[in-house]
Amino acid sequence: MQQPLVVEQLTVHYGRRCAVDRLAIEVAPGQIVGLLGPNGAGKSTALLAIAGAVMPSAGTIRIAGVDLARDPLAAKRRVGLADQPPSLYEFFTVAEHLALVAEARGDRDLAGQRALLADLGLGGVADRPCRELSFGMRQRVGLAAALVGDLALILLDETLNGLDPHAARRARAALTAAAARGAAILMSTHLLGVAEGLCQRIAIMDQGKLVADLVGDQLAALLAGGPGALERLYLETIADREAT
Amino acid sequence: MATAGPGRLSGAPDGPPTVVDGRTLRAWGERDAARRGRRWLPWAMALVAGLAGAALAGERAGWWRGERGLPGTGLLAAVLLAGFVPVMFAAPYRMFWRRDAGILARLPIPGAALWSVAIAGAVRAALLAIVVVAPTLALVAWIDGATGLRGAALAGALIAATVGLVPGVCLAAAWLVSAGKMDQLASSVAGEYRLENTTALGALPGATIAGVIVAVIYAAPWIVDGGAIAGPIAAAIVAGAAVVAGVAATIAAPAVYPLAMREVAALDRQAYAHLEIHPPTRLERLVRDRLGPGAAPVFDRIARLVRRRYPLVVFAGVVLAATLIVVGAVAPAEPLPWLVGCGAGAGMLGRWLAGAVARPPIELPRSTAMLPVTAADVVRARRAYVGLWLGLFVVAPWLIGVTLLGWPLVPALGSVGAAAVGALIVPAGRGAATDGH
Repeated sequence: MQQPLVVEQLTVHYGRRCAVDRLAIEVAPGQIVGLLGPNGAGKSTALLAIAGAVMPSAGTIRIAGVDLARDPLAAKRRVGLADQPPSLYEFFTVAEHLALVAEARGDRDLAGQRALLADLGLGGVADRPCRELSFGMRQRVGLAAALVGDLALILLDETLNGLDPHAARRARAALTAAAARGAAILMSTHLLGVAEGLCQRIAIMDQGKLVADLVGDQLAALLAGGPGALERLYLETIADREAT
Repeated sequence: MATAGPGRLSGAPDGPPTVVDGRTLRAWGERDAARRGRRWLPWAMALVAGLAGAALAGERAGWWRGERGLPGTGLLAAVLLAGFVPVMFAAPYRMFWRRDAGILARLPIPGAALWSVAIAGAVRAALLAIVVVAPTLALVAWIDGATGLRGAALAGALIAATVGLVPGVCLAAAWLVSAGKMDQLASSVAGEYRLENTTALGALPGATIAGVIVAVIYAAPWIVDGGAIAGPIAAAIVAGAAVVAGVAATIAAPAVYPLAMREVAALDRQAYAHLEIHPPTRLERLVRDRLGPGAAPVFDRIARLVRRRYPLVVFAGVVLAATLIVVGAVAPAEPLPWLVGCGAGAGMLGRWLAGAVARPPIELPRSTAMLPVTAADVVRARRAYVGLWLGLFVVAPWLIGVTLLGWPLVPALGSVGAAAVGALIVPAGRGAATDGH
């Protein structure tokens, strides 16, 4: 089975500023990776570049074995991105928006889309225009759009922020189910509790670079330290620049 | 959990992948436009403008007095330009500065489908322009068939420019920006001089449209006299360039369009854009510093964002100002159509700009509501910016032009009236209700 995501030497510049600096990461099928880091660390830019929404300055990105630069259509068909804030067709209903994204990925299973909306607690608003939704609802529609289709890789940019406890639980269940079916998930978050509870791997970015990557026994040993262990690691790894 | 989610779908996972084609993409756009409402408005505006142009032509040619004369060269050129120039200037907004650019840029949508939608939009825009020019050309043809045919031929060249030339140049400009070629091009032409990307996105289509305007002015006498060879040559050059640009863009679009869409769509994501925000100009600072502490920062933000997000508004303002001054300096036999055309254009653009500065991505209502500025400050800043645009690009050039013409009463009043009508018929627009983009 192809690795859902292989990133090598990914670099993204905005003018003279280097937002992502030679990032290299591989994500295995079914793996949920939490991407942590301070504001401006380059997490969102890295996710957008992997999704094909921002042009890399250098490096290669392979989605399920397909080089994003060489065959962007085939690669984009296997990747879903929930960005921040969610990009929605404001005048479409929730169901229509989801169907549109699904169709672009070659998925015309309307019943499956309805089931996905129900899983995320959006069944009651499926026929409401996106522009009428609250912040949390919009987050969930963005998540649904990132989950629909025959995906190898799901990218989430702070998507679990702002969800009420029921919605957050549903979202976590949907992500766990997606991972169980073989999709890899790379999610940026500042919610360390969510990362501890949901992710099998924790990566930390700072100033565009990957500065920590814990998986398997390393992560288990860290989490065995009890509540707050991840927060302590984060604070030790990332310097508080505002304080200096 | 239900069985929904990834890894379960795709009707024929082992067959050829399903691809969104232009037809599907157009259907999405049609549905979105239908939901937004008022789809009849552009057609109504075009019809009103077309009937007004025909009435003006009839008045100049004496049709309403029972004569069977022909309107002058200037009026015919002005009607053609009034119909086609606005829709040509709208091309970049139809192609990549779309509301849904952020979504389209990341979905697996082939460049050919995007290009097919762009061409469909250009054809629709050309039809709108035809509604504007058709009444005048039909009446001219009724009086004199050969003159009407020559007018139709020039309109045909403009249709080709609208459908092929301008979209092709827009795609080329976006590709230059997305591929990082703009700096190379500028340095190869001008050494150390660095051409800003934003400038390129507005300047290349704008310069092309300016070239088309010059060609029409150059060719217009041929419509009436039929003898000059320069007219058909100018029209043929425009049409030929349109065919070449259209074919080249059609060939390049599958590879180029998604890249261009991705990069230009990033404009609305301030943090991810590769494009530059310029500080206010000296003139803008002069106005800003007189607005008071509440409105000044709002004005400052509007000035920074408008040139970046809507560079063609500035370019169109320069074209308007230049036209008004040139008309005054040249003093054509019939200044009325030129002044009325400029007035209508200024009214429509001014009204559109007034709406644009109040909507995302320029104005973020929720963010502004949380700032320590009053609603009156915000309104004052918007009015000051639109007023500055009107003063700089319309009122001052209009005063210069009309003074050079010796203050002809009817054309001067006609241009003011046309500006009022233009401002009335352009909708303020309906943006998304949120601060998101």
